[in-house]
Amino acid sequence: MNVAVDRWVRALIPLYIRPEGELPPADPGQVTAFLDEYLACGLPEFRPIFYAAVIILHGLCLMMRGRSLKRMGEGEALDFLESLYSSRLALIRAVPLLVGMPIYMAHYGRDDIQPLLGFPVEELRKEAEQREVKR
Amino acid sequence: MIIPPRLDGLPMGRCCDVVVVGSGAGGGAVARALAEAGWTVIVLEEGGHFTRRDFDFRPARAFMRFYREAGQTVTLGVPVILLPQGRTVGGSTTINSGTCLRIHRHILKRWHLEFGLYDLSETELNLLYAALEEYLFVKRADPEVVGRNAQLFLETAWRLGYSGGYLPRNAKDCEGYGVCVFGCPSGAKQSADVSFIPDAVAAGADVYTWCRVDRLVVRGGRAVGVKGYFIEPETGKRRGSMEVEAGAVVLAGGALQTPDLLLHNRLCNGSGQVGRNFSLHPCVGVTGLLEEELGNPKGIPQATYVDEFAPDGIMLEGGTVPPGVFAFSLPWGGRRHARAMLDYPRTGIFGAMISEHDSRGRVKAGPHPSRPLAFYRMGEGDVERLKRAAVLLAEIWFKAGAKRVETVFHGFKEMTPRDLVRLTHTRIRPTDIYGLSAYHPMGTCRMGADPEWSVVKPTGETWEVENLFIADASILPTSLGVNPQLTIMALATRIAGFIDERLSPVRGNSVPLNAPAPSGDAAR
Repeated sequence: MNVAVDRWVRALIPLYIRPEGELPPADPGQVTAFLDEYLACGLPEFRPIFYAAVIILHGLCLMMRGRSLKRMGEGEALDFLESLYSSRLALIRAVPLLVGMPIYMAHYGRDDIQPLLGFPVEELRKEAEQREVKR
Repeated sequence: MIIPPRLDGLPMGRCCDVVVVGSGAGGGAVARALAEAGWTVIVLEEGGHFTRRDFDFRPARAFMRFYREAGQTVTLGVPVILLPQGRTVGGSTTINSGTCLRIHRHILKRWHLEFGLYDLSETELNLLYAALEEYLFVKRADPEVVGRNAQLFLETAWRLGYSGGYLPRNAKDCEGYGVCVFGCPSGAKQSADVSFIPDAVAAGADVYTWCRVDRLVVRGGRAVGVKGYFIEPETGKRRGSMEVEAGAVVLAGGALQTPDLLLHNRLCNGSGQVGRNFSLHPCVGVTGLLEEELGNPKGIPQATYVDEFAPDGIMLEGGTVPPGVFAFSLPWGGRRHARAMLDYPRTGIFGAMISEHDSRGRVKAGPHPSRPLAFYRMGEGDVERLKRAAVLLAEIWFKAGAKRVETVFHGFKEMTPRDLVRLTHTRIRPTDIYGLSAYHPMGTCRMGADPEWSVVKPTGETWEVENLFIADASILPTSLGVNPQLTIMALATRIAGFIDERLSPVRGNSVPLNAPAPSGDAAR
């Protein structure tokens, strides 16, 4: 990923992924590594659109709140992000949705997170390996 | 045999009786039928060949490996609709839910009356369906395996007096690992990669993987082969070229790729119908927060259905998704999203698909081959139908004991029973929808009895190019209203019969599989 975009994405990750209950915080390195792979094998147009959405999200913060996300407290930054999701304008709502899609996919698809949500992937993987269905 | 891509950059040529482009529901069925009839068959598949050991419960990885464009394919229009498609041996059957439903009688009647497809009789189709159902081990989902989510939804729908049941699926001894759409890890799902393709290979067919076709070779108004190239799996870069000379060419790349190939080759579009009549099944999901843990996604993700509203074009079909997919489909961010994720084990998930009435779609050739542009505009009536589907889903979840339900409509992200009435009386616009996905692209090279309004004859052969057949979802004249794989397989098997007939007079004169290649290297 572009270095600047990488930095901007890293700033957004803790806002998107909140530790809650047993769920751990995100590992920004894991998320950005996933993003690199995901953007490389997807639609060529998706990469610039994703980059643009990240930049717009930061830009919207400056425009709407008069401050950058970095200068905001965590609570205020979260309020801002959540307000975008509830915007009356579809285009504004699309921005955080687009940015969040691969971030959520990366984090909640982790082998150590899925069992915390009741999906014991390692166990199931072993079980499925033992159990081949033949025609 | 299934052959890996040739990456040495050298050209390669083959001769055969039939070349099939695509290995999914249509391509797989044609390849098997013709190979077993004794014809030399070559299948060219743009994706790779994966086995159950590659299907490892990692949805994100699955998107990147088995889906076209990592699952990022969308339709252009308002709203933008996610349209995931498989790109692997077995096509979308490898990554679908395995639902095998027959065509509704009223749709077939419409095909007869509006498209002149009288030859396609209900009796013949039923015979084809029955044979396929036996071959694919189709049976109703086992209530012991479906999972609490599907069971609870169905039982509640029954309590409300709605008709529904367990979906027929092409799964043998399914244990409900909950990841059908990311590849079946036990091999229970009888997708084309574990049924048609291995049987075609056993009968002598060759399947080339990571091979993209970009040219159709036509001489004297007759299709005589295809040209293409191999793709490097890791980078997607173009490698050595590939040419196959054949007695008949079958296109089975799906309702987006097939018209794209024809449009790029400027073929078969005298009627102007190639790429038109693009239809889909737009889907909406509604979740309900329950008291009990449901054990999601273990079970069969799409196991039960409610068809009470099928005459109105609304079909409720389950179900669950793994946490990684659930996470990105939520209309929330930040703290609210984290809470919703924590509630995942107690969240009932169910979906609905609609068959369109006033939406319009068209597939156009994109600037690059194999990357068509799919335009789709949802009509007001269909948006209303989606809303009605969401209201029905919400109603069932509330009846099942949900404290609140969540929808993808702006202003109704979180609802209590009282909001249900408000949603019912609110006009939803396409821009009010947070995220929409659709499945089953169809209709872009439709079949019909009139060459002015269709692309292929009732036999599957194109009106304009002899020996060029199409056997995929693009030939379906209208939206089916149910999952189309069984109908695609049935039509493809029927088309294979016509190809067999066409080639039969020249049997004995057909080019043997090991004949000298038309150009470049020898075949093997």
